[in-house]
Amino acid sequence: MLSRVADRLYWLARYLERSECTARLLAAYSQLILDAPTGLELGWDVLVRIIDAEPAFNKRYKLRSERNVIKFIMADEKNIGSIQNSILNARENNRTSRAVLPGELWEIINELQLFVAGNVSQSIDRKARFAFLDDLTARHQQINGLVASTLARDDVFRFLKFGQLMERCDMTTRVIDVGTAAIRGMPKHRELAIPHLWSTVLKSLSALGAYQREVGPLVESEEVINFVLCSDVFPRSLSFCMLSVTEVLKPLRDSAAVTAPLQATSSELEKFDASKIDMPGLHMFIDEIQAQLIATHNAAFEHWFTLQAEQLQ
Amino acid sequence: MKMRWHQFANTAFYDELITAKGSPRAVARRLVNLLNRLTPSELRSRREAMEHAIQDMGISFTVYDEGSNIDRAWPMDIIPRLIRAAEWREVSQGLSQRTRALNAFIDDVYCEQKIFADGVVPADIVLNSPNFQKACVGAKPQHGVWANICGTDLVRDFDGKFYVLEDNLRVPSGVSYMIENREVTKRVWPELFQKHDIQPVDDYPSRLYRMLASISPRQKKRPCVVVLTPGIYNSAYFEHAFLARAMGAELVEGSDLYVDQNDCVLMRTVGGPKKVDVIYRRIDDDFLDPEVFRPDSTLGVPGLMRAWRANNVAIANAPGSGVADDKVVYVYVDKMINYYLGEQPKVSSVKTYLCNDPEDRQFVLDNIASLVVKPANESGGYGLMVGPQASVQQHRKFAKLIANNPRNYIAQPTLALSTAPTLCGENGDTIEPRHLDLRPFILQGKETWVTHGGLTRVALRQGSLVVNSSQGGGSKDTWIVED
Repeated sequence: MLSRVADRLYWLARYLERSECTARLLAAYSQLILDAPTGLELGWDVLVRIIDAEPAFNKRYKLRSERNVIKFIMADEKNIGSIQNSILNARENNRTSRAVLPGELWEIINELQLFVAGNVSQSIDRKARFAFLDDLTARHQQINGLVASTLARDDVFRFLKFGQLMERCDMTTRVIDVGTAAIRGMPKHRELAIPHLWSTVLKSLSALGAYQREVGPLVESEEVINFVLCSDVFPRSLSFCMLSVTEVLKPLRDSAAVTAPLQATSSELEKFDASKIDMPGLHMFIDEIQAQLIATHNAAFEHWFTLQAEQLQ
Repeated sequence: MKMRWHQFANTAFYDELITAKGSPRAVARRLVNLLNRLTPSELRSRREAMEHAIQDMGISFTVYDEGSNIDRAWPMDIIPRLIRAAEWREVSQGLSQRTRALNAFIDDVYCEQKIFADGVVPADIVLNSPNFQKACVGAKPQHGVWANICGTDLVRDFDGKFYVLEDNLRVPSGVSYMIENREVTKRVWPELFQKHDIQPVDDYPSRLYRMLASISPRQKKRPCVVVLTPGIYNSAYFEHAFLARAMGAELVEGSDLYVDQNDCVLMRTVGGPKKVDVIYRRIDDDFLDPEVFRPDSTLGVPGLMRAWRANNVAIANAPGSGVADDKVVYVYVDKMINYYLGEQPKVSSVKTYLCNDPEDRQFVLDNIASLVVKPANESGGYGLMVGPQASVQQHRKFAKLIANNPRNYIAQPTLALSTAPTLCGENGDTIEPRHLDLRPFILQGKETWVTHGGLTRVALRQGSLVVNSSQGGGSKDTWIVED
């Protein structure tokens, strides 16, 4: 696998996963708002904090209204992480990886791009939004299904999985970080709504059903955080994703060096218990995890993506 | 639907599907019958189905200077162009013959230069050509073959005979569209495929791989073949990716390759350096190696020519192949066939006047309004003048250009390019005749092989003879049909 192509596949998968995670997050949060108990003052700005784009948002909009936030996250060309831009970037990487992707896979990614380009800006309103997000998620699932069921387990698969899992780790940690802060910051007299809010966190990570079967019907903050970060059966949990990265990259040269930060985090996660940590502690813990993700990304860059002739000889 | 087939009758042109009497040719009878049965709305919905298929399959070509919208849907006409298999067999023998002679010529030019000594081709027109690469003199590509992939443009004149319009021996493109057009027509006209015996076109990539493997310097079961592209902004990038994928070859850019101290070509992979055996290059000679050609090229690979001359890597087409892809050299191809192969040409060339020759030049200047004047070194239909369609000012401008630089111009009679029924009109539901040509592809390595048909390009504007997709041309699927 060419270094340049490996780099593009990694980013293709990251952008696709970013779009999918964002779609799930928006759908879950929009639903929460629909049936939130009256008087529960839920703002839309929490979404901007999750995608870590407050400065960019504030530059563009004064009011943190539903319309502005949704437009910013779905269809704003000035927001590099918007669904529209993620898909545009995926498109460029898809085009340049065309030679290594099976035709069928290339074609459905291409169709996804046409779908988003044709529909995203008309889907800001609530009425159209749900249908759009559902359709978008289904198309992502179609791509994931094709990758899982038809792609040879070679370097193409490895770098696609690598990009996807890295993005998922990134998004999961941010949802937990911002979500926990928002929920624990609720005024005392709103405590009744809290399980509802934690359910939304689980939904936004597609984790509700798995949580209910594994943990039980009671949705409680420490249990949710433990499940999302540490579950060893749920494939979207942080710990599961990190182990999967290590596993999928194993056959590659220098993989031990690249995945060392993730392995360190995995051992930390084994000892982790949300009930024994306070809010600032959790925030610091997640900051450390983010730092390890960045270290892994940089190591992959150095060992695989930007090889110079001098290094090779 | 009532088709106005009479508009195809008694014209000054040969139509591929309709006879001069306005009835379908035998080969096209089933197709024409089906078209007659379709209602205008059925025809429209088939065309829409085709457009969707092209979009979903991502069949595109790239246009320069359009800001961010550089990728355009491939223009294709829904009605295929049919050719009888028996006729095609003869044409393809002629194409194979022609390519073998051209390769013998290139090899001769860079090695012994016997054809000059024997006075068959004048040395100066070849050796003074910008396409003659001094850096290639004495090189010995495998099997003595230089132009491994040849795209030959054919046209059919009023007499119904095929003529070779030009030989493209540098980096001919279009073959992926030939294959994709077939995929699209299968989706649009499935019923016709059940009723016809149509020769397949999708074996091209495996033929190409086999040919490329046959020129590998290392004799391995699966030599390392790569496709070298200038990158995503090249107009044929779609095709580069298509062929690389279909051959299971890496699609590389210049920066992915380097030449080591042993003059071997290596590519940068996640697993470390990997040796490359064969480069199917889709960049021009000038950009191949900044050490030898243009020093400012960032598309190529420094040292590549050293590696090639040391026979550590094969390059297809070999650098310097363009020497035979010159409209002045074209005039001598029939003689080359005779000289190198001892055979008579099986496909004719078009009568061509060399502006370098005083007698020819006078004829061209006297008859400029009825001739097509072409620069000797341009491709893509650029810089040519079609006399009967040009203004008096353009005639004068070209007369002056010829007088200033006679070596750079040739002229040919204006051919009555054949037509074929094509879906036209604002609503896309009228069928009108449009001019077309045909580009088959010939592969020569250890053996020679010709595609079943090729890429038919069609001028979509009424009366136009310019078929290039960069200038408003479209394409048709081409069926070689067993009788």
